[in-house]
Amino acid sequence: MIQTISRASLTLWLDALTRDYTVIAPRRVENLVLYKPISSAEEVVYDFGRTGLSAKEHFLPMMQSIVNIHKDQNGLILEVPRLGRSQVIFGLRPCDARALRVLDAVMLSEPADAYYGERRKNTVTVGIACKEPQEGCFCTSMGGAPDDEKDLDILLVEMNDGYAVKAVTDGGRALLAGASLSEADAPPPVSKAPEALQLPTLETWQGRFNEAYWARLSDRCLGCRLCAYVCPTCYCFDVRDYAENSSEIKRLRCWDSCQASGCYRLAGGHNPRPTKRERLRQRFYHKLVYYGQRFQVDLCVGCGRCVVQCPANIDIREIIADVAGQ
Amino acid sequence: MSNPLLPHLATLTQVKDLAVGIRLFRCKFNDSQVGANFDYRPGQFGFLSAFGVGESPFGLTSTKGRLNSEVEFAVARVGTVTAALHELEEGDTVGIRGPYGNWFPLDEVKGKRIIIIGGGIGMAPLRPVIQTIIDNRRDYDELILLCAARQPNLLVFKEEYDEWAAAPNTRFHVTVDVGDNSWKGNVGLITKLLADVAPTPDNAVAITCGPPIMIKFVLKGLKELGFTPEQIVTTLESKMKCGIGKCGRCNVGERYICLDGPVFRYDQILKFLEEF
Repeated sequence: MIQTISRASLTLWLDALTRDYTVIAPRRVENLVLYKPISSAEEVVYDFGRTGLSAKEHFLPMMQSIVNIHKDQNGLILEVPRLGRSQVIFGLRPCDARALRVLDAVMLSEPADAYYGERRKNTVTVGIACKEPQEGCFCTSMGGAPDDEKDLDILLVEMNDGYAVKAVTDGGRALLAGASLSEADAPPPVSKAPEALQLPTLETWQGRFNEAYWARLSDRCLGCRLCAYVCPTCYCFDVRDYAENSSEIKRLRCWDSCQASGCYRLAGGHNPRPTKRERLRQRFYHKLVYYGQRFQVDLCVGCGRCVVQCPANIDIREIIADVAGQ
Repeated sequence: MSNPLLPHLATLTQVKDLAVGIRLFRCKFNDSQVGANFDYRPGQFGFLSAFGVGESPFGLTSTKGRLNSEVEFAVARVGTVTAALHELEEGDTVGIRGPYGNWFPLDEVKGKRIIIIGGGIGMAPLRPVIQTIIDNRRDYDELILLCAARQPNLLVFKEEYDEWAAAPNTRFHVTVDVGDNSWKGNVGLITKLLADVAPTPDNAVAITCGPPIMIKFVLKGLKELGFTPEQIVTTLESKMKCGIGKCGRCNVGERYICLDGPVFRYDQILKFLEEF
């Protein structure tokens, strides 16, 4: 026996959740589908394949104030903005859910990032399994699967007239308390998985570090940083103070990218990664070598967004194959 | 959950020029309990905020023992945040967070001859090393200090040269790349001074900090004198936005300069794939 939910009950449940939570779901924003807060279940898009951006922004916002600084004649007062309501992220793909586990490794390792930690603790994730791979998908190469439940609180798998429902965590079970569920005998259809690539060994990566390959590859790179912004696991950030006026200052944390020319340049002028060659190489070694050495998980979930969105057709799958020597 | 990115407020109790474009900032935490708990060792660093402009990492430039609950930073005016810090005066409020990073292995090198080689603002994190050795003079063998700067008016902590030179069992040398009319001392690169002084590697450890190009040639000079990589301790510097291993600026391989450094033994650096 498996639990199921009809499309009508799902709509009622989501509408009910919007009363207590900020419900974030795939919805149309101009010509894109993005994970954005909804006010009604009517807004949810189900046939989205892959969203333009991951749900990363709801854990690491594109821009957030980490300290509000109030200045007056009595001195300075520092205030840390807090998250308002708890969040439900609906319609998360298993790869984007895996990205949260990957980000937890760096963000929650001591000393933990309080802002990420607060959002992580106050978010329940409801995933929907992928029926088939999209162009560029390679989740199975990075340890994931199109119907992987383990980084979700609830997994939904589409069936003929609704979804199979599996509560994975206690938080997921609690969220489902208000949902009208049924039972079915037959399991949902099995997801089609992308073929797994053969990953290079650590020694192969290390041996190819100084090869001309990286300079050739970087010739194509425009340094546009899109890959970092669409990536569910890229977490590098910049911090700057923004003075709204003489008494109100916000210390803003913003998404950043290792492909920006000034990313590593010090105020004195020293730049340990002065050209695109060093920066592009750093991107792929950080993702596929160094992060795993430090945290035992790679900094990539195979979502394929950078593959399909890079304007120079730089394809991480090709790089993996090139380094592996296939 | 505690928030390591939230700075503590502090007040500048002393601002003074150390050299042209380099200022020393002494700061007292507004909450005295924070000051008492702010415990750090030579080589560690903190972030100093000029509110409204931003924050940057700087080496803590004194021992806790000499300052009690205050902290000192030496700041060279080279960029946006440092320019804003240089506009501040005694009594102004700054933000401080830290301490971050590892420290010079001063317990492990007890009983050894210590050669300290510092260039320019690179003397800032070495000053607490010198203070520690002078304050615990019998714990260490001979101390050889080599200080350098591009020109005489860029030498920092000149007021303390007499104290350092007068310390027991200590040799003290200064050089500048280019002298001026009033300069009577050594002229030439620090690598020349190092070759002239020629410290023996026997039972010795060299500690060096300075601009990357200086460190590169000092490492070469030390090697020529017979120092092994295990006998050389240096620092790596990097852009940083957080100091707590999150911002992604200071990763070199699987190491983070903010968490695993900034102090590294040269043999550790030689194992890096990437020259940083």
